[in-house]
Amino acid sequence: MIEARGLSKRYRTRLAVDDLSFDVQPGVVTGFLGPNGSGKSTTMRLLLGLDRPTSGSATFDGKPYTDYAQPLREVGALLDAGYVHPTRTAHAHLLSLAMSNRLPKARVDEVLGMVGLGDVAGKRVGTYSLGMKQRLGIAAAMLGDPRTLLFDEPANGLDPEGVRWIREFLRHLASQGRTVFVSSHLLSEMSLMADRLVVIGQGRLMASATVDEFVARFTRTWVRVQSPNMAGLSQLLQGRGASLHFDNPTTAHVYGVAASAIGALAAENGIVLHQLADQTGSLEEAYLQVTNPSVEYRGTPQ
Amino acid sequence: MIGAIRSEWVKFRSVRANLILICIAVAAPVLLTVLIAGLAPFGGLIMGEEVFATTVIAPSMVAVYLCGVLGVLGIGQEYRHNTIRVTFAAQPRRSTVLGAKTIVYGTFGLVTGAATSGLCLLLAAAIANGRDRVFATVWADMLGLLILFVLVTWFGFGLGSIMRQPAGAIPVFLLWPLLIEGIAGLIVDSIESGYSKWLPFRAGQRIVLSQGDFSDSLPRVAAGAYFAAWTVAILATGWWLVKRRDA
Repeated sequence: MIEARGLSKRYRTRLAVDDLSFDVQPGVVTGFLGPNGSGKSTTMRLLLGLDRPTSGSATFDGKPYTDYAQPLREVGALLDAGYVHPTRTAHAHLLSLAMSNRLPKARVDEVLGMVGLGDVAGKRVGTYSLGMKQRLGIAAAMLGDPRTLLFDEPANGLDPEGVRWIREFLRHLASQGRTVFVSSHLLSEMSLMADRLVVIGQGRLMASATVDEFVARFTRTWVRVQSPNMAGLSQLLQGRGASLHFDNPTTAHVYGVAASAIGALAAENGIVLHQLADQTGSLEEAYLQVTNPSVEYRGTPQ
Repeated sequence: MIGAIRSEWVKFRSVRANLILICIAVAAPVLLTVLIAGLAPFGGLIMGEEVFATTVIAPSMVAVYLCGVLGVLGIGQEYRHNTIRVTFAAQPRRSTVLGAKTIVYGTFGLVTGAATSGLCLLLAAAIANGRDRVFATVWADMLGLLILFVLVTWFGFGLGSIMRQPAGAIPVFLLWPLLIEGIAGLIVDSIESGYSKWLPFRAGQRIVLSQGDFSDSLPRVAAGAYFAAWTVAILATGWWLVKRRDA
């Protein structure tokens, strides 16, 4: 379990992380979301003791990361796939990490096989594609068979098969009772992969909830109604305080009235319904709703 | 610590630039020794300290500075490629990592120094007809040379720890003894004769020199201790900064 309490990091005049507190539970995949520059990577580095927090603390199973003499056995992390010397082979890179934590040499070959790099283990990492480097980073994180895993954008550079592989891999790790904390910009992937979310904006915590709670809290639900007499039904619904958005003359999105009430109203008034379906917002809509005010770098259409 | 040393050893031998640098550090002085000893009129001389200085120490100084560059790269490459974050994530006790690097790079400085100066000495002795007496006359200079190899390697490592980026640290490291101390020596000596003996690399070079006029120099042992103190100060500053700064 990861516990962050009051984490703050100031770089001269810029407050990159601002009093951030959250928990990451074992047994589930927890997604870490936020716009570019929101402090996700800084938070990851603070958790791992690579950057010194201005205030606050973080623990892994109750201990600060820096208190672990052999941390790879407890916590595995992929911060950036590019953090490898380009003229070193994948095998040598992992072997140096294994040696530092007194892990058996055989484990290097095991994790290389696990991520599908066994055949290219002797090649220099500089010749690897970004996807291969991501797999190497995941292998490094798995080296000590840790209980807690942190991944910063693990799907970056992976092809669709690789993206699917990493999703299933992370869910499998969580199902084994491990703590899995993963940041990603791919919201569609996150919606398929994560059970819980920690969402930040401008370094501050915006939400910490399950994916369903997050979507329900930050998007509107509505009822999609299709009827040949939509005009008549809309008058009745507006009388009940509903607001409507028409897709076309026979189809509308109804806000403010439950599907059961719409069905009953239609039946009472002899109005035929062709469709009556509850609709919920997407993770993307909820994310944009939460983070829109805190987006730091925004493009403009040409 | 043993695990960290083994890790640093794997890292050292798995970077091609390190191996190339060591090959150059050994080969260049050997080639220079062969050229100097072969072309100079040493045929009638017995291998002694003067000949030793010309045929072994002077060529070996190339390797000494290359070992210093190796020291700079020992940590500078980690910052350049951001692998320092992976290193400190694997071993968050930074003193352990720095201690292991200091041991590994110091050992490589020593081994490279022994290989370089040993080969140069054997070749020079063979060419200068001094095989029999060579160790009797120059052992102290040899010992001084090996100490200088280790100290300069650590000096480079300390400077790399302070500056982090090798693109900046290597020029500073090379220009310091080869240019800056030359200019600074002229300036300070013009103010008060003999002050240049307090320049660190000038004192360092005194460790390996036993022949010549040293009236304006520190005594040999004192010069060695003085350069060692500079090296320890640079190393300690580097350690302190690496431990204090964000990775």
